[in-house]
Amino acid sequence: MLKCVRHYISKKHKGQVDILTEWIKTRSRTVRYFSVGSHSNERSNPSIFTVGSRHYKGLDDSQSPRLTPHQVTTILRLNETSIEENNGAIRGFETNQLRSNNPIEDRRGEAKLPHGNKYLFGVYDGHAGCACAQALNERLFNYLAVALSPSEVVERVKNGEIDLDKELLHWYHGGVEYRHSELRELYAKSLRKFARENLTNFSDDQYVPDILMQAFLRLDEDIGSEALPVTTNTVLNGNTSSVLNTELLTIAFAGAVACVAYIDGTDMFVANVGDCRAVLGVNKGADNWEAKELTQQHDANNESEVNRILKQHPNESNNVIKNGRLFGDLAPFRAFGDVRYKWHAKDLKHIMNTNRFPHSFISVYGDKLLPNNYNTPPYLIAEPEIKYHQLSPKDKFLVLASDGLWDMISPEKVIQLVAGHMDGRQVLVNFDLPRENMTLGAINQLLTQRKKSFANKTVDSNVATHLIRNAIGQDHLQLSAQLTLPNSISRFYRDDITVTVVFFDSDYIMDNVT
Amino acid sequence: MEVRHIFRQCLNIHKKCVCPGLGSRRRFEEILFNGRGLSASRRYSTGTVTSLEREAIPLPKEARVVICGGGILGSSVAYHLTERGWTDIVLLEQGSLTCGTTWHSAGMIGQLRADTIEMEMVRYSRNLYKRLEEEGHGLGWKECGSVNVARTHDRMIDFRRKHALASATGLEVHMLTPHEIKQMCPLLKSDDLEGGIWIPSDGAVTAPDVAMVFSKLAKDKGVKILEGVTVEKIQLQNDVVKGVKTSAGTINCEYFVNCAGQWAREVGKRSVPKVRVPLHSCEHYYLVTKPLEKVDRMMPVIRDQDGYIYSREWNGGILAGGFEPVSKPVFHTGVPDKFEFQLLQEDWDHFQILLEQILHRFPFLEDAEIRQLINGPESFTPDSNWILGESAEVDNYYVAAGMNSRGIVGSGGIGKYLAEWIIDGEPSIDLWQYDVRRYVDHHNNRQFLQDRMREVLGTQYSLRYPREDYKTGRKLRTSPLHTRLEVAGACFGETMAYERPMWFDPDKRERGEDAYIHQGSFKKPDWFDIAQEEYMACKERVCLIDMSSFAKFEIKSSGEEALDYLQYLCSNNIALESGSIIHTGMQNKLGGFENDCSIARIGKNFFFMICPATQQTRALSWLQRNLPADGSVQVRDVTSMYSGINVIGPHAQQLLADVTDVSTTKKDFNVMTCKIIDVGHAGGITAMRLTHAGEDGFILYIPSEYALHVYDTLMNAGKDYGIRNAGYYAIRHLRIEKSFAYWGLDLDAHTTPLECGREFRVKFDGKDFIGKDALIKQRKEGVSQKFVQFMLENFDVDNDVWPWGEEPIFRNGQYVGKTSTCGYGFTLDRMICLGFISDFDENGQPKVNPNMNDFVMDKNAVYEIDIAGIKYSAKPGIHTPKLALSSVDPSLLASLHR
Repeated sequence: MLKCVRHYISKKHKGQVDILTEWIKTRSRTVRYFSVGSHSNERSNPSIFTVGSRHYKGLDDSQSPRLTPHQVTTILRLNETSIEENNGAIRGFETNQLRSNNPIEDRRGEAKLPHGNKYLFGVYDGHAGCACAQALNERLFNYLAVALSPSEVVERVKNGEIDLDKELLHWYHGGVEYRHSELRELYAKSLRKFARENLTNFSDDQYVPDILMQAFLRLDEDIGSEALPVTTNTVLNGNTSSVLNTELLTIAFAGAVACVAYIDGTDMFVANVGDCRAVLGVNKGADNWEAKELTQQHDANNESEVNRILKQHPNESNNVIKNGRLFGDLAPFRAFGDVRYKWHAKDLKHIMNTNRFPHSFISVYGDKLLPNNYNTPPYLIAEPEIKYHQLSPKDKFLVLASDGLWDMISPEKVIQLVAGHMDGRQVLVNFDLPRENMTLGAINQLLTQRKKSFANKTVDSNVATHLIRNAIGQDHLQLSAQLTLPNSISRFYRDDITVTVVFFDSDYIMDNVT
Repeated sequence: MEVRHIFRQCLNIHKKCVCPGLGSRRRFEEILFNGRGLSASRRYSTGTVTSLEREAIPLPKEARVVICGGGILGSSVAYHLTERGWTDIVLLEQGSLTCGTTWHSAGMIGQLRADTIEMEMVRYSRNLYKRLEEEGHGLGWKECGSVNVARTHDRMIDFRRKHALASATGLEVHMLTPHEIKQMCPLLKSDDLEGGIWIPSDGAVTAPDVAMVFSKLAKDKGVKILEGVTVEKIQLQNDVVKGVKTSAGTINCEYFVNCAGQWAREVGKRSVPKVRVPLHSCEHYYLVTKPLEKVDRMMPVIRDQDGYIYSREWNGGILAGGFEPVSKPVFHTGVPDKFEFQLLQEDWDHFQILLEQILHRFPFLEDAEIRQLINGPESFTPDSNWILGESAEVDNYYVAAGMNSRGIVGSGGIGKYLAEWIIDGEPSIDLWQYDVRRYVDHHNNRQFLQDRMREVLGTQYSLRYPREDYKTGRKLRTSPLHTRLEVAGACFGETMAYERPMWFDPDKRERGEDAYIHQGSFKKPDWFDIAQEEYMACKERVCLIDMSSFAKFEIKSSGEEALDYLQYLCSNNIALESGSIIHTGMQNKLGGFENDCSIARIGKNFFFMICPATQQTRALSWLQRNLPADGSVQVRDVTSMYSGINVIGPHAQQLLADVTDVSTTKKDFNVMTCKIIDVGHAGGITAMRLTHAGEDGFILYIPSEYALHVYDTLMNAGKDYGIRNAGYYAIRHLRIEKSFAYWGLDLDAHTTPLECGREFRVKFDGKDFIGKDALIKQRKEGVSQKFVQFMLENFDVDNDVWPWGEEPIFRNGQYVGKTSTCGYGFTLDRMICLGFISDFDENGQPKVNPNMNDFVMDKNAVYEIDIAGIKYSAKPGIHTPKLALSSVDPSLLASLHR
């Protein structure tokens, strides 16, 4: 079913590149950069901190260690993947990630449901570490698959008779890597429970957005309840090791936003929690492209979100949103995890009291684990906003990306870059006369058209890499400077970037649109 | 039906000649066009005919000449050697005759060239092809004429310059108006043209057929042609050709001729020492259309060089191709095995720039159907000139390769003159511009070749302004002063890959202009005012000029052998006391200038020789070839060891005195003497009191590591003398005004000292030297040409097209010669042209005249020089004008600061 899977850089190679980037970053610490001054006391976790564009121009590339063009390209292409598909509305997708945080806090996943032409594409942007994003990547598609699958499949899930990674879903590029095998067991248990409940409520005419919503909410619920202190935890029954316990707490206290596109035939649903974005590239004829946004960002710039929070916490308007953040701290207004904005104060206090050792997962919060004036939790929800879109033949591709990309370039520019890349990619193929007995005039017309496309010829054959390259630097010097930022300051200049571009098969859509 | 018709036509042609193998035209047609069997997905398309009916000739054990390469060049050389009576020749072809590049050549025979030598060679080719066709050898010759069209005013100037030279030397050419072009070629879009030029006697041939006719005729006279035999090693003894080891055995031979086309560079490596043949393959494109009703078989060949394109009739259709500005070099790591009758995959995108221009010029082709696009690789050279002659590295090893898409048109003349070269030791015309010895090693560097080739292919047609250098492969050889000079605003020109400052324009950088690339002009160049300032500074103050590019040699022996050796090589007397310098020619046996140099006697048996930069390879080859066999004399090329700074001008004497310990007065340091001196803190500097420009001054030859120190010392010390940098144009104008001839520009192997007023530099008595007999004969009988300086009357230096060399000179309306170098005489306030003139007989042969000076200076003689169609009256002179020699007493001049 998978036509072709290409990994541009093998794992072995990947290791070498990591060493290279580390070496470069180590070296770059000795180089004088600029004053980070006012940010040096910034204690909020990196991805919540507003990063990117406002510092971008201030980066003095002349002060950076210089990479060779080959090094730049190697780093940029480290995580790129291209998949071609020949089923359903999908022609394939290309994806890539570039880290700023170490380790990267973004995650992404792509999978196909084994029954019918149904695809899932997800982008997750973690904060306060990568734990929650990792958990989403491991679990969310399973929850969605259970919610979306026929009852016989769900039955097998319930009974534990199904290999989750092979039968419930077909993961692209090898599936997810689990962080803890013990957690995996725990997750499976929670999923079986979800399946059981799902079966009791099963009906054939469920509304898809409701199904998606249910899966999202259930997962967030499970993340929270699995981590609750042992006394109240019904799942763990006190048998779990303290390591595992700590791990579950780490996941729950960390947070992540998520954006998932679910494509079934020509129906597309985009479920979004937080500030990732999904933008559709719509071709309105010739070179005219529209960037159609399918998501709204859940943050302080979104008036309806602000109103929602203020309405839910009517007497706390002075306190709950400060400096455009939840409690002056958290930028997204919806997220998975982040239980310190969801749990009761007493549970949080219990955690504070039982984890007062140095380097514990809560030590980064100091005394502020419990926000001031924490009166009416929950303040944060993981309820997705879900948008339905009927694919039309004019819809050529969908770009899913974390805010690391959108901080750098606008959706319009992204759509232009992808469109140009598609155009440029065509001229990479050697031109053969399409038919016998052509006239010179006709040949010249074709060639002239190609010549225009040559302007779009790009360095990177992977469009996600192409976007990342264009997002972080206009020229080699800028790219080199951006890629050699030391870990300690990198996040002030750019966030982790994850980009997935899904290409649609217009012919299929044309034939199947109802 | 159509294809069959063509085959019949081709077969008819081939009934007339029995060639080894099948008729090539037929094979050409089959390979090229037979049913589009050339799958584009394959890297190389393979012809349908893969093997020839070869006659089984055993490899001879011995031959006088072995020729490597069965293309147009190898077969022409074989043919011309037999015409001269040499028949003991073996021609080896690794594949089949013509299978390399000859078979896909477009076969256009155009005679309009930029200089008389190449015109003479291609005119010979054309006449030969016409004659052979008339004698019944089918080579597809048709005299359809050529029309070259101009889109720009400057291209018209180029045409007028060529028109002047061509018509003066007997080639019928006509300038055309756009209207006349339309009448002659109705198919051509002409409303955007400035004009054109028509050459009625031009034509076209079927290229492979020419090669087949040559080889057939050669074979008839006894040349053994072996196909499928590869040359593996050229065997030498004492750097002389001894034999050739081949895939079929070994042949002993006296001469080896490398005519291996795009394989020639590789073949050059198959001997020890290697022979450098700097060439590189590039893709070359043309398309062929299906037959078109509108196309007349005798349609002239059309060249629209401003659109990079050419076209000719081909089997009722149009063959059209061109030379795009940026080419695609190929075969960087060598030509693939068995690349026989093969083409490269067509890159339509690359061809589009040409297709667009073809359709622009021939709008009717919009509806023409394509038959095939041909991508046939051809070889090109760093300066876009052929590579001919005996190699510098190995005696009796000749090269004829690097045709730059001018192989078919050149092959006749090249064959003829190469045969002369092999048999007589010298060709009868000067072929220095094609001489294989004009290269140094770096020219053969593959990376350099690849870079340069991108540009070279396009220069076949792009408008070349006078003195225009290539833009690629620059900044390779630089003097230690280079960066200083660059910062000071030097604008560089390239000679033998050496970057030499031509003039200094400190503001050029600020204007954002490149220091290496200069926009040329046919009219007053943009450096004119600066060259004048530098000229005046050399005349009135003091300048430093970087002369590091000059070729330098040390000649030593333990006894007097070096002196004897040089006395035999040089026509002047070298036996002067130590510390003297002498200007001398080195003549060939015909008395011509093999080299023109200055020799300083540093010690009793130690000589330092300086000659033009272009002589670096040639001079060394000449010196080594004539070395005593006993090894008693050592010759060493020290060009890269020493930098040269010319301290020129009336203040030079005092300036040098300020920074050195020796007295520089003329009494203590006479003109044409040298001393080893200190300058500043540096020592071991050879200071010579001469300037090559007729002004007072010194050239300092400095061990390279001290060059910067010496330069800085002089510049600092010279501040109060008004010192400044100057470039080569300053020297050029100083010496042209004084009528000093330079080797390689004015003088060559076919001019003698007696012909350029240098009899005084020939020591006839008391010594023997190469060329003495020829010079004695000349002295007795007179000369057939004379070096003359002309001053133009009524020349508007600001607005007229300048003379740049190769302008025809007329005496009483008769063509008598052409200019060699020209420049403005700032003191004489006249445009000056140098050149040789002859008294030609009715057959165009120069008459020997015992009173040549009288012929030149005849008071009743009226001279005119034709510059791009305008004849300027010119005043001749055979001595340096007195005014040009005027100098000033430096103590009376205030220094002027810029």
